Amino acid sequence: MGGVSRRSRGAEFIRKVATFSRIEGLLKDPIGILKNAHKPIMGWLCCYTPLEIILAAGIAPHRIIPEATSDMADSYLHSNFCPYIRSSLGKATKGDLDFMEGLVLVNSCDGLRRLYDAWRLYAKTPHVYLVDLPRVSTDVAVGHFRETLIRFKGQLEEGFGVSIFEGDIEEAISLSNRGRRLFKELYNLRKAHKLSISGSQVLDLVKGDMVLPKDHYLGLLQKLVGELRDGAVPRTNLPRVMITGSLLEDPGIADLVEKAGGEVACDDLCTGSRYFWECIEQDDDPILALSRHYLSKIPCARMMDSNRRLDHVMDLVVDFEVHGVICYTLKFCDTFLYDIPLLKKRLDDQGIPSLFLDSDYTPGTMGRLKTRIEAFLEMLREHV
Amino acid sequence: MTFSETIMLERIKTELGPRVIRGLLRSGFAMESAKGAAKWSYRRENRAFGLWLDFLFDTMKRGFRKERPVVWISAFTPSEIPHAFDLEPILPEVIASLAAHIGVSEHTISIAEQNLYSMDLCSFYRCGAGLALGGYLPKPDLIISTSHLCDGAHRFFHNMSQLFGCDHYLIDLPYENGGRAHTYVIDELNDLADFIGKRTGRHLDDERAAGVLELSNRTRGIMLEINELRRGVPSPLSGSEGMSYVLGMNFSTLGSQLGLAFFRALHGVIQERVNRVEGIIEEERYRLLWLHHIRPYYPNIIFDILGGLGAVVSFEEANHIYWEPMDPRHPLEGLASKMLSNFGCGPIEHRVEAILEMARKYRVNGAIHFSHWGCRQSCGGSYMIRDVMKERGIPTLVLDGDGADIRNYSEGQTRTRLEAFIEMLG
Ligand code: SF4
Ligand code: SF4
Repeated sequence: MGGVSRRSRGAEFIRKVATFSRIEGLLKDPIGILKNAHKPIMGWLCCYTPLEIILAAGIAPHRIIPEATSDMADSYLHSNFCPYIRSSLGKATKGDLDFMEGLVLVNSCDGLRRLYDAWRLYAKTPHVYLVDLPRVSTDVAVGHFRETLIRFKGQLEEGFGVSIFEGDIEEAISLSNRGRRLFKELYNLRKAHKLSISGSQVLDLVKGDMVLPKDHYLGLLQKLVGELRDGAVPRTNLPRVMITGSLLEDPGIADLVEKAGGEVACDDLCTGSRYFWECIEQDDDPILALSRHYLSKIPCARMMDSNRRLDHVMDLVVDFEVHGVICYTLKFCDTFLYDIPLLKKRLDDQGIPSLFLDSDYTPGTMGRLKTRIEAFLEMLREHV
Repeated sequence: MTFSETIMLERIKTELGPRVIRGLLRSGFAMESAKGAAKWSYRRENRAFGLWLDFLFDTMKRGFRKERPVVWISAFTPSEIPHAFDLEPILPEVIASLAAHIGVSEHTISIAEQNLYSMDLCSFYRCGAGLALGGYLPKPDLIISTSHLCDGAHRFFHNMSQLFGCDHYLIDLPYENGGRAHTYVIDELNDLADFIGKRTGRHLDDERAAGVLELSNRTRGIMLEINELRRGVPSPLSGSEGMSYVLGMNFSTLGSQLGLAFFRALHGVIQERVNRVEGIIEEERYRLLWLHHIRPYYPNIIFDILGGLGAVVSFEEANHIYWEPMDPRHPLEGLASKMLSNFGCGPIEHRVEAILEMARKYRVNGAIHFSHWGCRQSCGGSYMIRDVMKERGIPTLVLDGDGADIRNYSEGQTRTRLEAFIEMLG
C-alpha cells in the first residue's frame, strides 16, 4: 500500500537532517561521551528519580537501559522478576557499569526495592541510594516526600563531598524544563501531523536526554527541533498507533509498527512521554517544587490513582487521533499488569482496538511480536 | 494438615460438594448448614480450629446480610481499625487461601484470567479477583489497604474499588521507619478516620478504640506465649497449621473478643500437646523454619514428604510477633508504630535479622524459602536470604511453587528437591 512509502518519506527526511545524524552518532557510545564530561556518573532506572538534585550536585545522571542480550543475573534474582531489573543487575555484576560512581533507585515497585538490596550485596558501585516515594499525592505525602528529597540531597553532599545550594537546584530545574519543553514541542508537531518522524526515532531522541550529558545534549536537541519545525512533510493516512506501558527496552518495536504499515503517533511510556510530559512548576522552595512535581505528574501504574494515568491515555488517544493502542508491558511488572483489565475496558468502551503484548527481554522478543503486530495493523487498516 | 483439619475439610468437600462450596462462599444461609454439619468433627479435637470456622462462616454471613458496613481490608491492614469502627472486615487474601483449600481456586482463578488478570500475578489476588467477579464475596462498602510488602496490596484493591464502585483508602507506608515516617502514618490514619466517618457514619470513639487496642495487646501476649511453647521439642504445632487458620485469625481478629478467645483456645490446645509430649510427627529429626507468609493451600504433599523424612516445620516467619504493645490511650500512634515495625518493609536486612533471630530461637536445622510464583517482594529476596543464611550456617532451600494456583506445583520436582535438601542436612 502507498502509505508505506509516505512513511519512509518522513523517516528519510529526518535522516537527512545533519543534527539528527549527529545525535544518532552520540547514541552509539553514550558512555564514552559521558566520561569525557569529567563528572562523576550516577546511574538511574526509574522515571521518578529526582534527576534535578543529581544535576545540582554536579553529577551526570545516566539511565541504565540494557539491551535485550544482557546477562540476566540469574543466580542473584529469581527468574520471575522484571527483566529490566534483572538485566540491569546482570550488567552491574559483570562489571559493565563500573564507570558509575553511584546508583540511585526509587522505591517505585517491589522489583526496584529488591534490586536495591541485591545491588548492595552483589555489585560494586560505591554509592547506592534508595529514594522513598509515596504512592499518593496528598499534601501530607508531598510534605513527606520533600523531607525525603532533603535527605537525599544530604546524602549526595556527603557521599560526593559537594554542597548543593537552592540556586543550583533552581538552575537544574530550568535546565530540565528546557528539555521537557523541547520534547513536548516535538510531540506536538506529530500531533498536528506536521512531522512524520518514526516512532523509534523519537524514542531515540528521548533516550538521548536520559543517557547523555544533559546540557550538551539539549543544545543539539534545540537545534534539531528548530530544523524540524521548518521541514514539515505532508501527513500520511496510515493507521495511527499509540504505545502505552512500562518501558520499551528496544525502540525497534515502534519500527515494527511502522514496517507493518502504521504510524506511531504518540506513547505513554517511561522511556517516552512520561519522562518529560509536564514542566516542573518553579517555587520559592525548589525542593518542594520537585516534591509536588514528581507526585502529581502523569502517574505510572505504581501510583495509587491509576485512573489518572488511564485518563491521560484516553486524552492522548483523542488529541493524537489514535486508531489503535498497543499496550506493551514487561513480564512480571505487576503494577502495569494490574492496569490491563481497567485499560482494556476504557478502550473497549470507546471502541478503540487494542493489542496487549509482553516482553521477557530476550533477543527473540522482536520476532515473537512481529506477527502479532502485523495482524493488528492489518486489522486497523481495514477500519481506518 | 492436622488430623482434625483433614476430617473437617473432607466432610465439607464430600458432604457438600464443590458446587455447594461455591454457594457456601456466596450465601450465609448455606454457611449456617455447613457449620452445623461440620461442627461435630472438630469440636472435641481442636476448639481453636472450631472457633476459626465459626468466625469465617459468621463473618461471611453477616457480610452478605449487610448487618453492618462491610470493609475489605488487605492482610496487613491492622484489623484493629475495622474493629474500632465496628465494621465487618473481609480479607480477600484469606478467603482466597480458603478457596484453594477447598478446591475452588482453579475455578475462580480462571474467571480472573478471562478478565485479563495475568497469569504472572500473585495467585491469591487472581483468586480474589475471581471470587469478586464471580459474586462469591460480600460487596464492600469501602476498601482499606496498606502498601505493606507488595505492590499487589494496593493495585489489586484499587481494581476492586473500580469493580464495585466504592472508595479505596490506601495507607501509604514509608519505606522505612525513622525520620518523619511515624508522623506521616499518623496523619494518614487521622485522614482515614475522617474517610471512614464520611462513608459509613461511624466515628472513632476513644473508649471503644482503647478497648480494641487493649484486646489486641492481650491477644498479642497470648500469641507470644504460644510462640514460646512452640520452641519446645517436639514441635507442638505444625507450620502447616500455623499458616492456615492461625494466620487467618492473626490477620483478621486482633482487637476483637473473638481473637482473644481463639488464641486462648489455641494456647490451651498447644499446652496440652506439650504436656503430653506430643509432636507433629513420630520422630522429629529435623526442625525447619518456613519463610514466606504462605504455603500451598490446595491439596499437596509437601508437609507429608517432610514428615516422612523426619522433618517438621517448627515455626514460620508469618507468625513472628514483631510489634510492641500499643498504648490504648493513643491508638493511632500505636497502630502507626505497629505498621511501621513490620520486618518485611525496608531493606532486606530487616527481614534477614528477624529470620536469623527466629532460626536461633527455634533451633532449626535449616529453612525453606517458599518462592510463591507471583510474589515479587519475597521471591526477589530469596537468593539473598539463602546466601546470607548459608554464611551463618543455616542451609536454606529455595522451593519454587505457588500458594493458590496448582498449575505451578509439580509434585515430582517438589519431592526431589525436598529429599535432596533433607539429605543434605545430614
Ligand atoms: S518495568 Fe515495572 S517492575 Fe520493572 S522497574 Fe518498571 S515498574 Fe518496576
Ligand atoms: S503472596 Fe506476595 S504478592 Fe501475594 S499478596 Fe502476599 S506479599 Fe503480596
